[in-house]
Amino acid sequence: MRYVEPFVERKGRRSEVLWLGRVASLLSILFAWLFFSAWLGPTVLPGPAATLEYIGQEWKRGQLWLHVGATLKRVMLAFLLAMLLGLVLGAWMGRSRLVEVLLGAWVALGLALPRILIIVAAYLVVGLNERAAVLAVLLIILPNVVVQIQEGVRSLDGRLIQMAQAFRLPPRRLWWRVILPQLAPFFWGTARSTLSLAWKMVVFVELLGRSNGVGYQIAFYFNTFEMRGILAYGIVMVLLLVALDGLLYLAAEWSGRWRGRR
Amino acid sequence: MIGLSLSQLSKRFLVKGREVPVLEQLNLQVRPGERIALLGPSGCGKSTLLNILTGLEPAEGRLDFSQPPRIGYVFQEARLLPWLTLEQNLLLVQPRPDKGIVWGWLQRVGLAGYASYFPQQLSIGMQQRAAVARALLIRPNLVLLDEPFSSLDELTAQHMRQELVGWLEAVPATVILVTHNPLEAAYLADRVVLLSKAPGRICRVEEVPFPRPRTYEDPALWTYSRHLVGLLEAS
Repeated sequence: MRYVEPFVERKGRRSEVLWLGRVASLLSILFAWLFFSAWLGPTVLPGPAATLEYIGQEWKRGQLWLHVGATLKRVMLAFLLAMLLGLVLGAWMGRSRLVEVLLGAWVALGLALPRILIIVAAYLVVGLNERAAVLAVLLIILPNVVVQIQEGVRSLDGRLIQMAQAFRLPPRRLWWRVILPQLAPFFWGTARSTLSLAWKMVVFVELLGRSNGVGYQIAFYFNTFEMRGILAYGIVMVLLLVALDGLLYLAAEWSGRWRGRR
Repeated sequence: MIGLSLSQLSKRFLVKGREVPVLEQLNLQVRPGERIALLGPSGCGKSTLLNILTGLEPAEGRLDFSQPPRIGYVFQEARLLPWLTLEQNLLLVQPRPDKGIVWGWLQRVGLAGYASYFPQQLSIGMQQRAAVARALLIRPNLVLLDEPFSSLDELTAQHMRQELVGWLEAVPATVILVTHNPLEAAYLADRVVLLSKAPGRICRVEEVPFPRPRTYEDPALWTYSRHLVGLLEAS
């Protein structure tokens, strides 16, 4: 007689395998770090323990939060502004052919301009200050948000919008209940990729023209060839961004929870 | 209940820079409370006409309502929002959301036990019931039915048509049904408007010679639907 394995049991075993896979993946990074640290020597690549110790020292000196906080503030400001503006402009361009034509060239220009050029131009025009740093990052990440949201609006299900119009839904209800839920997968996907890009660009901007932040610290430790400092600040920032990305991922899962209902 | 009048109503679509006529010179008077079936081949502009009545499509000519229309629209597919539960889908279309009315209709259409379900968890037939409930719970004075049961098997469709007749009793409204099923037209309508192939023109208006309510057991209904098929072929 042929034995058929119960579906639920197989599903449970599969989730265990996935968890083990995740742990194995993280452990492989740790082992690679240990391996290369031993191979290259602690001066060139300090190991996890030495880096952790340095993070502790920086925390006690009060320097860690000062720089990480400054970077985080810039990242979040540029990210939130880009998401807000990008959502409005992308939605507008997706719904109106005229607006798309009017703003299309600007978006294409924003996508084509080299990032270093935008950063340098922002510092030269606005000055070596906080506003220029945030503006440069905003100008770099905004076109990506606009394009992705515009694509999302273009792929809206016209039949559902027609239903809403036939039932004379007020504009607010139309947007909140019909249009935005359709845009949610694009919105969260865009938010995650934009956050990642914003963080990389902020470090770059700080490296070129700020006197605090993770980018500034990396430049400082590069000049003194202190790999522990570079790794310490880099890792703390990466962990913070991974945590933020995790929150965005959970929000995306929550907003799309109806998809799992079959 | 609402009456409506179409005079010289035409519609053209712009396709690749060329004007393509879809509906031509439609003239029709619909009395308040009347049930009209628009019967015609695919692509003759039946659904476009419903969209014009709803205001979703502009058109040439005149369209007059005897009072401001409050339209309940049942589309070919249920068009329920998949991220809202059944109850939320029904609350959505009410100008002032009223759970009591929604629950009343969910009970009436046999879906009271499914209020917290998402549409994709229900069968196509159940989704279509919910779509009918959504159209009727706003107390419309004009109900537009766009081939509402075409996605169902004929047996289920017949059962739902019988139920629809009962549900419509609760809503005193003028009804316009788009269909390409002559039996559906004969079963539900007071008058059948036959449309020609594209561009759609009214080629005949038939009074259905049976009083309401009708039954599928009546052989005369089937004979009459065959008569409509003949007229359709001739048009």
